[in-house]
Amino acid sequence: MKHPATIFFSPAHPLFSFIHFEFIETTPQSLAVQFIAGKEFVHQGDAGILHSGFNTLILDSVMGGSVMGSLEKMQPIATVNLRTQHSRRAIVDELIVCAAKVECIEDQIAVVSGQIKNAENGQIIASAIGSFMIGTRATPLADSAVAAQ
Amino acid sequence: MNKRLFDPMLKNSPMQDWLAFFAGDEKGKYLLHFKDHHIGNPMIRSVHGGVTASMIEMCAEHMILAEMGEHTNVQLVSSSLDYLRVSKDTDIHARANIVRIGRRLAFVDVWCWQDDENTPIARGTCTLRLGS
Repeated sequence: MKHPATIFFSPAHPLFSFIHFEFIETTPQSLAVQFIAGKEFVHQGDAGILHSGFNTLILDSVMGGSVMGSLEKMQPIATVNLRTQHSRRAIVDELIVCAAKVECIEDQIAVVSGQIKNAENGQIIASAIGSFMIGTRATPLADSAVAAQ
Repeated sequence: MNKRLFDPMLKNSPMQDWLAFFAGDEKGKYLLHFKDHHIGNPMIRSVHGGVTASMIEMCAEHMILAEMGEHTNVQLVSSSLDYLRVSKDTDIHARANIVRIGRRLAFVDVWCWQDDENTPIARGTCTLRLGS
């Protein structure tokens, strides 16, 4: 069976039309992707250095994707919190690996760790730990407002 | 839309354009103008948590640059983010507050909301390295 993240993060997704993941590890407890850092996320143009927000964007995605693989049936999930340590910023055209692991799931909260590294030399770019709510009702605020009326 | 409503120091970068990030109409206020590529969950059209996170981190950096001058070298060391509510496919507003600027580190709190500042969607604390 295909890992749900491979479907969710397809180029049809509005965000992942900018970031093309190659899936290098897909298990029920872990997910690893490889990709090239794109120029859209450059913040210091002269040096081609990406904004740190790019690290956070990737970590949130891949860590959330790892939770999808651990579920027996597809359910909506939502990030509750994310703590990220930024060792350095990625550089445009750098080949990067992001790996995430579901550490535990208790009471519908998944605790997930993640790392971003240079794919060639293994140098850590950023690492994170986060919590994800499983089975969130995930009703957009607009719908909530209508329902309340 | 006026790209530099408050601070002329806010320089363009591809990331800033991708986020559609703007300084607001008063010091410490910022705006992320919603774009379709900010969507995280297409089924409910919520903004990706990483997009909100990027906005928070950019707000924190800009607050320090606005306070210390644009030639200050600012690097994000860490961020700690809490997602308080599900977001929707509209603009995000943010207010940043400097907690402390030390000799080598600075700490900035950022709160984000969509319709109402009293119903925030996310908050973040950023630690930034200065100089070096």
